[in-house]
Amino acid sequence: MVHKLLKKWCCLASCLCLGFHALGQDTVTGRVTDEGGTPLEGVSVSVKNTANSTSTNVEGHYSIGARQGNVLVFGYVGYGTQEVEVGANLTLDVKLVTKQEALDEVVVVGYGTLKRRDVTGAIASVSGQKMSEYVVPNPVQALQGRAAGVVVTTNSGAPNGNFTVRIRGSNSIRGGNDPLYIIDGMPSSPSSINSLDIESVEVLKDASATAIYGSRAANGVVLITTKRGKSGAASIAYDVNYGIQSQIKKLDMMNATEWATFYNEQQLNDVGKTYFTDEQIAAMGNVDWQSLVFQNAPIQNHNLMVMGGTEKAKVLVSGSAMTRDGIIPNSKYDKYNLRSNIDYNFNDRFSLQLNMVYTRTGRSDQNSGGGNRGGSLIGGTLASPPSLQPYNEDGSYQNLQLAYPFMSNALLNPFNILNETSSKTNANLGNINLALGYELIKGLSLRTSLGIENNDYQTDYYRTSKYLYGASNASISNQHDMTIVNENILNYHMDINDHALDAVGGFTYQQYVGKSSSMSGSNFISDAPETGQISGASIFGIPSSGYTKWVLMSYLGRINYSFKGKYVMTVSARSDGSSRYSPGNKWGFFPSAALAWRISQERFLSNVDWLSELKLRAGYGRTGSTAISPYATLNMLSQGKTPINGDMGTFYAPSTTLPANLRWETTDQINVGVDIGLLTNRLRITADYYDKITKDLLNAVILPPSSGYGNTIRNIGKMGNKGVELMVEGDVISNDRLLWTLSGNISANRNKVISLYGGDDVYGSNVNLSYINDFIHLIREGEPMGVFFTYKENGYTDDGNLQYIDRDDNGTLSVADKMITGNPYPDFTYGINSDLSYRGFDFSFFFQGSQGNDLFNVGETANLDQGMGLNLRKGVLNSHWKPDNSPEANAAAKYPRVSRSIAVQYSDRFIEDGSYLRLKNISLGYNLPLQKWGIQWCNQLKVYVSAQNIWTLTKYTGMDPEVNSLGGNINIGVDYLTYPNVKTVSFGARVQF
Amino acid sequence: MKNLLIFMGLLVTCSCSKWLDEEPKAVSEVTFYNTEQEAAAAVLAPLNKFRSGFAMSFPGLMESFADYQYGRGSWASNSDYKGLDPQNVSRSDGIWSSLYNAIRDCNIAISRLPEGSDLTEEQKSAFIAELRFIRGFAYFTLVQLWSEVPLRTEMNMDEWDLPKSSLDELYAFIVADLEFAALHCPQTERLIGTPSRYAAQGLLAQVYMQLKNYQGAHDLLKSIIDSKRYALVPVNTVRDFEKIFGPDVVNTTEEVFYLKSTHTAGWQFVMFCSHPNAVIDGKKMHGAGGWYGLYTRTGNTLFDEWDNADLRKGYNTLFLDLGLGFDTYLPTKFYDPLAPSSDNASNSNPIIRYPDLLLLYAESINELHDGPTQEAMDVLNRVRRRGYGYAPDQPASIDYVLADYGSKAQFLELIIKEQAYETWNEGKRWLFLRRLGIAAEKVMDAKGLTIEEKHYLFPIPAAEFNYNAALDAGRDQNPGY
Repeated sequence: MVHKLLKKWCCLASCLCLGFHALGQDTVTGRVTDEGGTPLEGVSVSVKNTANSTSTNVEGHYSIGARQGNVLVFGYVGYGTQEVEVGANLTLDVKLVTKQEALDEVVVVGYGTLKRRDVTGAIASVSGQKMSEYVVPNPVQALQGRAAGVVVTTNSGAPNGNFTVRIRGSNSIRGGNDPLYIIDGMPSSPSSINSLDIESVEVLKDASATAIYGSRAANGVVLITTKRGKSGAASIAYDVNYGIQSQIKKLDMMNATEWATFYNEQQLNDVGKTYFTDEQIAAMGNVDWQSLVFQNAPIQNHNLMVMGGTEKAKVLVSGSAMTRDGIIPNSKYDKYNLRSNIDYNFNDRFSLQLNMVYTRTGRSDQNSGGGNRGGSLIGGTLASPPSLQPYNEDGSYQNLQLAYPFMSNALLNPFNILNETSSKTNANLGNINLALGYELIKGLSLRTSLGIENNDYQTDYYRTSKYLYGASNASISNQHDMTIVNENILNYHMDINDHALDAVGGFTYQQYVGKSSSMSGSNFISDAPETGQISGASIFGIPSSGYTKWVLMSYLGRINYSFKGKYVMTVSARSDGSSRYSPGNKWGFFPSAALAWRISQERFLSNVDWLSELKLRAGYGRTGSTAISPYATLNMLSQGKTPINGDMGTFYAPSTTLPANLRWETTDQINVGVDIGLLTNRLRITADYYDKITKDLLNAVILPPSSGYGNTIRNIGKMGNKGVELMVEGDVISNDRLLWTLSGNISANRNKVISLYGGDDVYGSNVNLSYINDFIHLIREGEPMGVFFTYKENGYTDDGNLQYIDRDDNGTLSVADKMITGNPYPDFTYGINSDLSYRGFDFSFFFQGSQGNDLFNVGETANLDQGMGLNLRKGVLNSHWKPDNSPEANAAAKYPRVSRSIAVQYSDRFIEDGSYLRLKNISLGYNLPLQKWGIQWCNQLKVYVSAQNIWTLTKYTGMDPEVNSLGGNINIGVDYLTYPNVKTVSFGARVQF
Repeated sequence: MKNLLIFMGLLVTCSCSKWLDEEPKAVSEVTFYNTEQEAAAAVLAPLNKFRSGFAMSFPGLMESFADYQYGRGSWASNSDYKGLDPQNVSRSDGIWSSLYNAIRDCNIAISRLPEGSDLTEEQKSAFIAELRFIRGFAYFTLVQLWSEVPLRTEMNMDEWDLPKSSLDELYAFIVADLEFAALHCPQTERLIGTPSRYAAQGLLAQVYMQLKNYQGAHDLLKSIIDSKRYALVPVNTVRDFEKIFGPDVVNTTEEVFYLKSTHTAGWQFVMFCSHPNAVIDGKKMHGAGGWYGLYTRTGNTLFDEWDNADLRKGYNTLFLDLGLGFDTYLPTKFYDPLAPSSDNASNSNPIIRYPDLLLLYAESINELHDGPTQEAMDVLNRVRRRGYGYAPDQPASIDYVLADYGSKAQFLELIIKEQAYETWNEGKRWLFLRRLGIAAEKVMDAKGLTIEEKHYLFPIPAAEFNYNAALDAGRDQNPGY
């Protein structure tokens, strides 16, 4: 009944609307589909030579004011434009045909755009829709598995997102290996961008594409373009998503009975008698610390986007709020965004673009990890004995260190840390980008832009007086960053007969000023003010402040020339001057050249129908890496305070690094690639092979401790990366009702250190666990950077202790006995994506995997530290060397004899296969058939459920194979008690008016 | 239009080069070491380097080795006298690094100060003397713990591959540094915590005793004592020792050379000695808890023999059941109830204290005269009387009588016992026993344990062999490692 009424009302309303149009003129309606009959959404429909335009809805329908005799122009990405005259029948259904050349798709490249057919470099594109397919705290994380050659690894599961991005391997030992991020033309950090604001992401991988970014481009460039308003009817879209996150996998730690039995055996072996009686063991409760600490947590995201415009002005405004609680209580990450993108054409020649973004992020960290013997939040969660409760009977925190005489005096009560310490960081990030474009003469335009980015961070850390391991303590630190970028670019475009020329040239200036300050105090009388009244402290820390400034100036130019659309050539050059280098070394020059041949355009292939595109590309270029901090070439004295005369006195001392004349690191890269399109581009294949060498690597030459210096830095060293990338994408089924697209990418990179100073090995940093203090990684000529370099176990001794291979047979264990026992880099990484839509249902899944990478499980070493009363994994009790076992059973035992003096070293025991295949996202959605119901005021209402990280295939025995506790540079591939990764189940909706 | 473009291009290129100059808001080495304040800041740099590594690990290890105390937890293996296990090797490595870092800071300042533009020759000598004292102290510690080590001076700072020097060379260098310091350091210390002339003389006397130059030591010590610069602080009750060792003490008449602490930057060793449940005089032993890494016990003969009337016993030890199955006593010489965290106890580290010099003086007389003189016995008694709460300069009932202890060996035994009670927990016992060559005997007497040969020296750090091409692990490492 109601439904009928509603329908009638809607009909009436639409009739009225149509009637309105009819008052002025006739109305033409129709449906736009592709050749297969699939409706096309977003096709622009306009009346030729007027400003009258609209676009099709999700069912392909359009409605426009026009009359018989008008010419309607239909335009759509990938189909070019098509003109149709309106006949007597005012219903006009149109089938758009893909043209061979409608790889007139526009690709964003550095400092401009090119048509896809004219691209000579290796550029991967990821659509904005894929970037926002599931909620991520940092948009770049959504690149994982989407583009061949781009490897994104999660370092830890903290709510704000902590990960490493590598494009075609790591180039540098000391310098950063992160790519350069450019957002709407301005170098910036993408972490705070709203994923739903992204229109597309282009990843520039080879030197001919990146060389125009010169000295910061050696690690690849990620170009992020945000959405802009479109002329036509205004549209409002609202997206909402709500999900629950949970820990992916718990470790199998012992329960109370197992734990007590184990320590009885240890005490018997080491001290001579057991400690717990059977009655005591029976009376113990069982506390599952992991379940208490890692709890399910919600994540939600709301996004509102309004856009619209006319021929002259186009506006997009969006606002979003994301709140993500962490699975560790009192940890979270909130992100609030407000953006407006404005395009305004003053006249045919003069245009303006203004982007204004404000972001506010709030983070609450509970990241205390690493440590040893339970000396951190994560460490304490795993190591706390299951026989102990977190709280005493009177509600106070139990100091676990005192529970037993053999208890480690480093063990921290996780709840004491969770509840009584807090670290909150709030940031205000503001970004304004203004660009003015002026067409000087036909084909020649000047674009001047000014970008200002102003970031303010404040971190408040407070520890209450109920903290067991120190007095109350407050600290506040502030960081203020200001970046100014000015670009002045001339662009010339000429298209005559068979020749097309696109030239770019200009000058840019970038300046960064960073200031920081911090203060702290301890021993407060009251915890109520937290960090709000630091003057109430009894003892004050030494306040500090810092200042950094660097400047980058560049000249750049590029020429892209194509002949007959078949032969394309690109030449680019950039000259960068940086303030960081010593005088005489400040400027660097970065050229590149590339060629492309569209073989499919040649006459001899014109009859091959099934081959729609065949293009060969080859390019060579040089890029650079800044790699050193400002002031590193100056001999700076660092200042500090030390006690003297009953007070604190100021001292100045040289730093631990001896500085020297330093210059750029440069990377030379060759890239050869092929783009293939088959069956009218229904199947698209892109393959690339690359080889790059980085020279003048900044290398720390470590000095012996007797020198008093830690190291000195020199430009010596070479590193190489070579690899292959393959991307395959196809429309498997594409018809009226069912659309199924399948795509996959796979890439393999081989990293090799080619030469080092004096041919000497460089060791990674020591990981100090007190019972072991040694390094794990090695940089050696001929090997990948950061291979695992450890001892190798050689079975058990006669009394069940560990023993290691003594390579030089000298009876003692030293570095000479170490060998390369693992490689943290994968043999290949891959991603597989499937999108299926059928009658309004959408079903998609996305797999991502890494194969062949090893992980070093530092957390596992705790299982051989048996004497401190800490909780260990069940395997230690169930499978260890016993004197009354048979020799075969002992040889097969996983763990040695239970004792506090196990000769544990970093060895191959802790190296495991970290390969994994993970279902990153699976989602099922339904678009309500609004058109069928006759609802005109709402264009789209979609509801969906989805899950992230819901299924993983891996042999790794630690918590999660996606981990890099010590970062992704030299100390890569280490699992050392970090915030666990989560899986999420969520549901959401999207409504668009 | 064309002209405009050319003009803009010129404008840009002209002002270009200046934009790339760096102007840090910080200090660089080239412009430093010129004025008095800068020289004073330069002296504080090496003192700061002792705070990490040395300040905690040195007394920790030395006290674990002493014949009257035991290490607990990860320090327990040290009291087995079988050498250092890997975890304790990382602690001794930390001592090596902090000593060489201090030496580097001394070397740089010593090499730059002679050219200081705003200093008089006298001031230069005075500051250089303070730095040479610190360097001499660092090398003396290195030589005692490691024997032969690389000798890094201001002349060879850039030579990374430095071989070990012989003991003779090292001691000659140390003596030269300390003799210069003994001549040129300020008569009274510039600040509490910087070395004075007497401190240099006292340390030099200690070096002479190590080298068995008893005459040289005796003469230096006599001049220090006769100057009446220092005096024993009198005490009446057990708690009065707080006036000497407590957290609020800034300076006393006993302080010859201490490494200073404040609540902002303190001495971690105090946390190491404390226990969260220990209560002294109604207050927590350490404001932030404690790691209780050292203890003594009944069954240790040196502790059992200690006279209960000796006030130092009540001040330096506290009964606390650590759950080990026997009676245990914490070392409570240093405590700070208000310390805000583990690194912030404000007790200073008494490197050289006046009683150390007094006992050394008595010992030197004993050596020179092949037996005690009355003067020597008086000096010993002064220290003893103060320990029992009597006035140091007046005869007391508990005095030793010369007639009873007339032989050299007997008097030496008295000194050995008194040294333990006076310098309990100050990290001086092990090196004292080793210098006299009686470590094995005393440890056997007090604990019933034997000492393995390798235990007498620390191993040279592995990092040294890794990166110093002039050292070879097979040839240059200390025996047993």
